[in-house]
Amino acid sequence: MSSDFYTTSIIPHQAIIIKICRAYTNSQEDFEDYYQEVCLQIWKSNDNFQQQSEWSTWVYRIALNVCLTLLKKQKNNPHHFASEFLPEQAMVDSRAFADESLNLLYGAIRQLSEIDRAVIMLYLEEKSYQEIAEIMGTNPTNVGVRIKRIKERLKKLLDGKVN
Amino acid sequence: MEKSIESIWKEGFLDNNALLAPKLNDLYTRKSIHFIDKFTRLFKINLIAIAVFAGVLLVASFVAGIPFVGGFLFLLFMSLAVVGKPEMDKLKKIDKNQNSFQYLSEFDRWLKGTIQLYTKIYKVFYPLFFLGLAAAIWASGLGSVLLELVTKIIPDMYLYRGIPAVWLVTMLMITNLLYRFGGTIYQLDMKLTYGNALRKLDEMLADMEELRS
Repeated sequence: MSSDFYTTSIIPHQAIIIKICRAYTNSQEDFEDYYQEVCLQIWKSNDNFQQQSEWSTWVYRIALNVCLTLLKKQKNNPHHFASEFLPEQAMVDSRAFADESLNLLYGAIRQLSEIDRAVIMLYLEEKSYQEIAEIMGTNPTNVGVRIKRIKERLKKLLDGKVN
Repeated sequence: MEKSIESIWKEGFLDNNALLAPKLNDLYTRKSIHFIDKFTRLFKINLIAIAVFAGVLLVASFVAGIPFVGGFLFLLFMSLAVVGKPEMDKLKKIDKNQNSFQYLSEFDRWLKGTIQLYTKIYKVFYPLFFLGLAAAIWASGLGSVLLELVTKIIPDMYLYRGIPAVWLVTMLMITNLLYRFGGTIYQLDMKLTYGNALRKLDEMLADMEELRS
């Protein structure tokens, strides 16, 4: 991957890639694997980008697809990832943000289904329902209903933990 | 007051350390090791399958009452497995501790060398295998049935030591063709068996070349 491509096409969207990868992993090792794979896939699929959507939408879509694929692979073949070599207690997220509320929120997000995780991440990143629908391959009305349900579930999960 | 998830999200990421990106470095090393391990397994299974097939052929030839032809085919197939063994050992010796580009390049060199070696072997193997099959057909009793059939169609057919000359000439022509195209047939076979893996290897090496440039 050329450093030019990394600087101009990935760094501006690095934050969302990091947030998505963290939502799908439990250890720093897996997080690094996911992040690298997402960056590589964005770079490799660069030629397929047809400018029918925003570059950022393209990046989100690839990041989510790669994370979902890796998660599936990891379930089928745990040998492929570093976390397999960790003792069981280390499978609980070993990373922590400085903000405790954010740690709790991430913990709650990780308890959601894989698709719900993707939807709520995009919502929290202030993507419009239209954009989320485009990335997830659904329609804005469904996205709205889904987000409402996810937020209720997150609230339940966080209740008693966040003041 | 209870914070909304939106504000937890926003405020949590105000801290720059929350979004530190990892370095892009180790992925290809893991991918290379995973890829070569997979290829090694395939190669090993292939060698075992050849040896098992040779054994089955030998037993079948005894049952069919053509032990000499069976023995010949057994030796022919076993020679493939025997040649493959040192190649397999060389593959296992490739050092996993070097960087992924060197590791994959060394594997690529091994693969090309092995393909070259087997291309030469198959040039001889296919014609000999075909002759073995032809001999098996002739010796199994099917030959006399064929001879009877052909004699009815061409009564004045020339026989060389009891074998129709047409049969001999045809067998020699096919053997010659197999000798000429044995290497190509092997390479086609390689593409069918390992095509995906070979394409992936080329892609990975090309990616790495680009990363290094």
